[in-house]
Amino acid sequence: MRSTSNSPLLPHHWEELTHTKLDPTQLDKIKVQLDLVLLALEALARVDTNVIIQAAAHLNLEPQVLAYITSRQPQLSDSLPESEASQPQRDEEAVRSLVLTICYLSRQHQELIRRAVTLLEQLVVDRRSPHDIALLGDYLDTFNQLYQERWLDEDKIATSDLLNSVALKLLVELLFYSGPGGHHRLWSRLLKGAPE
Amino acid sequence: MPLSNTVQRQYTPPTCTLEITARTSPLSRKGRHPVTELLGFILRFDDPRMPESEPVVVRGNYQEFIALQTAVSTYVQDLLKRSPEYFNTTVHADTSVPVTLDSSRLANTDEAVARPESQEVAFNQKIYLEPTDSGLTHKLFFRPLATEQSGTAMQLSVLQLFDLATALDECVADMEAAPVRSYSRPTSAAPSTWANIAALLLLAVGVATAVAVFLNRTNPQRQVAQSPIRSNPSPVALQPSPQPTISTTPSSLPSPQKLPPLPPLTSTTTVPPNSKGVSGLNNSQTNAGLPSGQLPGVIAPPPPPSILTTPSKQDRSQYSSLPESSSEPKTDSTHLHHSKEPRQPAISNSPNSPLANLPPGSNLPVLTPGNPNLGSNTSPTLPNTPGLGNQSTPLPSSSTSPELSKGTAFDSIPQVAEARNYFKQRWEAPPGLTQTLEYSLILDDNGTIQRIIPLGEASRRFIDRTGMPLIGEHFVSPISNGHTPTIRVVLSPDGHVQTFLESD
Repeated sequence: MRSTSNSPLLPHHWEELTHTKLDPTQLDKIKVQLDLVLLALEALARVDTNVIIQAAAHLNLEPQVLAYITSRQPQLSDSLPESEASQPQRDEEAVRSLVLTICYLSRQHQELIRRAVTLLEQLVVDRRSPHDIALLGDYLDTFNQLYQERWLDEDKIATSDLLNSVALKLLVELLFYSGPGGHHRLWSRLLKGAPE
Repeated sequence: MPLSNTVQRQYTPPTCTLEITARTSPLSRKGRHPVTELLGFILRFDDPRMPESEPVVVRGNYQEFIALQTAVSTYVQDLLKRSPEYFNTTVHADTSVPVTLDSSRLANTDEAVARPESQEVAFNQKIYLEPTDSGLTHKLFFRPLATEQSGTAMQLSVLQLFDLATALDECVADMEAAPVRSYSRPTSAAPSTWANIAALLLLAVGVATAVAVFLNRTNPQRQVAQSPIRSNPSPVALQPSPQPTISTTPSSLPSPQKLPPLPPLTSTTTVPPNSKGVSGLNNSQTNAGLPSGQLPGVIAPPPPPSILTTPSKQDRSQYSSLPESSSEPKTDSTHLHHSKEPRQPAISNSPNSPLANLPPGSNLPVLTPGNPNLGSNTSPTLPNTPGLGNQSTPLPSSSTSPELSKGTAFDSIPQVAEARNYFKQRWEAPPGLTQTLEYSLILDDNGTIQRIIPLGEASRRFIDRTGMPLIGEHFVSPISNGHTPTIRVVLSPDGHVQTFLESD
């Protein structure tokens, strides 16, 4: 783990996310939302588990993020480094850590995200389909594919239209999470925007 | 000689330029002096994709900056909560409503205002945003910032909205980074100003005395003429010109009663008054004792060399909103999206389907222009707010005043007094605290806290010691008009508590 002095994470970034209390139900909803944001990052910028862990290590948040990942994908727990057990009381820390990590990664990929949004805007003007543009088409296809792979057994099968809508909305969200106040925006979004 | 520096800073995301004029602390040992007081701003929407169009330019003062920042921030947060289906309609070529993504200005009429759904907020004269038919375009109503050139409103693309939010956030971050006092209270004579005046008085007395001593040695005959000066040092110090030009004729000296009013400190520098192009700044800032000649967009006369604080190259780079390209991995989209190599999934097999938790279309939040959450979050300029409207109004008296617990004349809304009482019951200065802690609390209409903005490093460090309520926790009574006001809380080391309305 890197020293704090090398971490691009500012102390107040963490503090700004700590002034709230989350109940278990809220935490579950937040985790689902975070899974989707991660899915979008992965579909657009190939941000997989290893990249996430590396980013978390860069922010000195590796243990917490590891705890989150192992709790979300138990099948990976053997292949990942040892981390502390995902105790309920640590869930909140893990969620906060992942918020900061996601925003860090979004900022790193801001140029790509920005390009994708620019193309999306242009498509609207031209009244064309996103699949006319390779970047957006691939993003949507990958998002659909990953989603179906991971949640295929769920009762509610998502339509392609719905998945496209979710993917495009997440693309816009990623843009705002890549900004200077991204961590606060994502945190507020998770606290207040979690679907019922 | 001003004891604080007046600088201009620019925040330059790709599609807009935010230029602020601010005072900075000369005491900071850091390379970049933190902003202690924002005097005014100019915002240019200069999207390079529309080179032929004249950029939209708006100007404003501190209150208007805060109103704009709050409006944009709140609107973005609403946007992020919007239903995914809202975005889907924008990408189906056969069903999408054509939208104009350029920054075309609306005609300078009240066309938009006349729309029925806009009426509720239209007459509030607040800066606000509302969605257009598409999830990717947004309409920014300038309200108090509007000029003939800017028009009533302008349409923003998502990228323009993002860039605007980025510039505003970076500027706010600069203000929050001030070590001692970040935001000065926008409506009162800042304590730092008075401290500067006092320092200037002392300095002038010293200079006058030194000159008098010098003259006393070189020309004994002038001693008589200088006597009134030495016996009344303050009037000399109050002269607008800092140059200790001492008249040799007693009759030419103004009597204390005839002296001009005490000028603001910064006016000791020679500044041409009422420079052009700063109409948006002049009114309020003149009241605040700020020199109109040092407003954004105006080439101010060069300050003394010791206070030339043009940001260094390194400083400027910190303001840039460019992505961290140096650390960003090179991304080849072609490689990315056509690669078939297996990836390690970031997440998988979550017990719950995320989409199962998405709100159905029928239950999607509907953002209407008249929605209190939208309209109320746009901070006003508070022209009629008793505690804020008068720039010379002093800060509300401290918590030692018995009437504070009941509310003061500055409590435009009862929640201000409630917030004061809340902290009076909890605030106990931690040992060793020497600085005043300040927080901007953005409330929800239900009386809970939506956002806490610590102002300055000390405020950030001691936030856990303030008894600050948690986000979402009950704090004050619900806001009757559905607005989301911002309340400033000032906690002094001596235990005093001050609260006042920043914006309603």
